[in-house]
Amino acid sequence: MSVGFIGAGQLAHALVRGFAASGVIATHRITASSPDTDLPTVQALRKLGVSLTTSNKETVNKSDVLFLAVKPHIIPFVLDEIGPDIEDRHLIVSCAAGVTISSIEKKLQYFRDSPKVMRCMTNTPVVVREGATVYATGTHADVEDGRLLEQLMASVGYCTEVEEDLIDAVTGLSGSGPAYAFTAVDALADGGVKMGLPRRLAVRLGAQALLGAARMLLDSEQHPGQLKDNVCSPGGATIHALHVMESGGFRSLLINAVEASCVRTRELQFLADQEKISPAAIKKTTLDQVLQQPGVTAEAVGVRPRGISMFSNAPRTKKN
Amino acid sequence: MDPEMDSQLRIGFLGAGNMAYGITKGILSGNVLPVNIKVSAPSSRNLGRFQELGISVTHSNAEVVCGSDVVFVAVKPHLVPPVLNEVSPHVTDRHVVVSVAAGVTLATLEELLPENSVAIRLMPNLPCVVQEGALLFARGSHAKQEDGALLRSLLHRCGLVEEGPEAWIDIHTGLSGSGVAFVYLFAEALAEGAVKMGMPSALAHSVASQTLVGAGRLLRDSGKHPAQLRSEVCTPGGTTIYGLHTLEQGGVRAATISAVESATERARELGRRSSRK
Repeated sequence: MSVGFIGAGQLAHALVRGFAASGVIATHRITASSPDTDLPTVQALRKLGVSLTTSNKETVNKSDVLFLAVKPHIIPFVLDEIGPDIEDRHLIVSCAAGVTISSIEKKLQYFRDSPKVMRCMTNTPVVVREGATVYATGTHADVEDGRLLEQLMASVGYCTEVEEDLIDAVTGLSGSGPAYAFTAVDALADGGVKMGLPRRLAVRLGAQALLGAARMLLDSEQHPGQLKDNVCSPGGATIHALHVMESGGFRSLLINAVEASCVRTRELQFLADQEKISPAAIKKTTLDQVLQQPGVTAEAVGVRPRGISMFSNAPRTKKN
Repeated sequence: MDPEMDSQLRIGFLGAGNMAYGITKGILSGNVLPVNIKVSAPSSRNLGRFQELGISVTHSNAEVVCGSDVVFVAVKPHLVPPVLNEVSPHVTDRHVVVSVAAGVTLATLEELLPENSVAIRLMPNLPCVVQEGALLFARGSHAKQEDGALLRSLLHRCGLVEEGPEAWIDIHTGLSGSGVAFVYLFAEALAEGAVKMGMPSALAHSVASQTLVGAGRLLRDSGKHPAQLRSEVCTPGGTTIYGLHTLEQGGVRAATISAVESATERARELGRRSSRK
């Protein structure tokens, strides 16, 4: 089995590092493409043994499982480009936040009757094999495809199937979650520094406290509220600190954060469904580089003088 | 505890207020017979309801003490010193003196009573009157484990009875003495929310109080952590989680912690003040 990544940025890099560490797939069986060869992640991927190319078509041709690891607004653009090259064997896995399976299937059905599409939402800790991944299965993908994806993603953390309409909530929680945690550790470390700890030690201890607590919770049957109680001795330091946190609205802040991330994801999806993308959303240099690829025509990628329509109006012939 | 012993025990109450009445009701649901209970009060105003239970009443505090093995001091806190001064000559070391007066410390009680007296400080709460009280007691220097066990067995029909060091009594005051009022505040607010949304007030209040009773029973009897029960009620994307989010945004948890803290601090202060007198 070969795996390809359209896009060679943070997400592709994190996934490849995780896959490599788990040994679930050899890196020489992985191809990644990006128009921008200067990205630090591109260099890093090359060092890991991944084949790099500027041609998305080449990635498609060399892969069985194809991860779409580009920004959401680039997805339709990419689909237009690679559509003609999709074969029956391809399993297309979109990792783009807010991009629905149906929008991808709709696009690809210009080229192929039954494109196998899946959608997944993962997060950056896949890089250390502690990712949180959910996936939803498209119309033409079957149970084996789900198992295949699950096998890949379970090698880099927790992975489970969900209904597609829960993916926005997952984005808000575990997609953005690591950022909440980084912010928390940073602030905890500030607290430690304020009280006299050296910064490095403070960061280390803060991160370890979160890691340890998470591990305890995952290994326990108990409710986090109960585990919290277990730490709070009567009249002690911890309960005093917790009161301060409650007074600051800690809980509601976190609820709000998850909600904000989820709502924004839905907004992005809505914008995507509007089927318009401004040329300002794509770097001119990127567009030029793509157009220089063999076999790519301006009409095929739906480039118009006044903007790029996400769902191309140009007449096209169906690929057999 | 030996039921035989209970039924022969003589119980006395100095003071005939709500607390005395509530505890009396609880004691009577056990093995103590009305004929073995005596209550004193300066006026006859509150004595009627005790008489209705078949209990003998008097205006003489000394009579109650002489005729009892366990004496509940259930007068208002500022009356404790004069009342105990009055009955002290009749208190022996076989008496168990149980004070329910808020803010009156064991040290104060032992000072007012003869040396070696067995004193216990008890903090009940209002729902004792319906046998759903939360009671915490602390033993004085000469009160032995058996005295604590005796009190526990007398009171177990009044509600939850626990023992602790005296330092916990002020906390218990803040939590469950005043806590009852916090719950009433919450009930009123729940009802107002319903009225705002269009429900008639009487129905809203009745539903609110039943909601509290039901939730309280589930909490007490399930043995589950309240966080667990809360999670169980919250269906994903449902009404409850939306409501809870609003509560969290209102800082209800922090306010509640602070409320218990304020009430406890005040109890401590009152205790200090009355010790100084």
